Amino acid sequence: MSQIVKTGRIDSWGPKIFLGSAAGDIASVCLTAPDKSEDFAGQTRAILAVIDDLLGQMDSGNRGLIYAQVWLADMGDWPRFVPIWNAWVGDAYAPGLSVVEMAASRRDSLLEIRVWADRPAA
Amino acid sequence: MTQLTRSHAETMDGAKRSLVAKTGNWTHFIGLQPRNLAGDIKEQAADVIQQLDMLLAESGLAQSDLFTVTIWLKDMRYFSGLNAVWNGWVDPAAPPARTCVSGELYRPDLLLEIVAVAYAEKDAA
Repeated sequence: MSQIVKTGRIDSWGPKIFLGSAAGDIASVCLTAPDKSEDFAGQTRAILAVIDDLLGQMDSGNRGLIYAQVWLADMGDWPRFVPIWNAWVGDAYAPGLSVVEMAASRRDSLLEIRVWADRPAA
Repeated sequence: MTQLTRSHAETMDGAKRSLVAKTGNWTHFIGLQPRNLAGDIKEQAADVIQQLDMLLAESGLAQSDLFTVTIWLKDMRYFSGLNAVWNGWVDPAAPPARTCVSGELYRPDLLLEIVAVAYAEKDAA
C-alpha cells in the first residue's frame, strides 16, 4: 500500500537501490558519482545532472530544492565544490546547504549528495 | 509546488545557501553554525541552539514543533560538552528526536553544525 514513488533504479554496481523517492509533496534523491574515475569536479557535475534528471521524473526540479546534504570524502575538495554549486543553484535564493566530511563507501568516491525538494502534492 | 520559501540567505566560503526553507507544514533549518568559531564546544553549541531558537520563534514555532534534529559533531570527544548544553535547553518532559554523528566539518575550528526540521499544521489552532 505504499504511496512512495521510486525512480533511478541501480542494479549494475553495488547494492540494489533506487536513487530517488517521492511521497506527498516531497521528493528526495541521493547518490555518489556514476563514474568514479572522474575527478572531483566531474563527479560533482555528474551527481547534480542525475539529481536534475530524477527530480524532473518526480515532477520536481532544481527550483523546488529545499536543501542539500553534502558528504565529502576530503574537505580539501570544498573550494572545488563552491563554484559548481553556485552555478547549479542559479541566481534565485539558494536552497539550504550542509557539508560534512565522512568516510566514503569506496576510495574513489569523492562525494555523495542527498537533496530534498518540493513537488506538487500527489 | 506547495509554496516553497527560502530565507536567511548567506554564503559559506562563497557557496550560496539559505538557512531556512519552508514548504507546506514543514520548516527546515539547514547548516546552522556558531557565529564565533573561537569558542569551546559549550559556547559553540549554546550559540547554535540560540540561533535555532531565534529562527523557530521567527517562524512562529517552538521547540515542541521540532520533528528531527541532526547534530554533526566534529569529534565525539565533544559529546559530553554538547549534551550538557543540550540538556540545559530541552524540555525535559518532551525533548526533540535527535541524531548525533561525528564527521570533520568544513572548517577545522567549527565544532558542530545543526540541521533541524520542524512540523506544524498551519491551520491548526
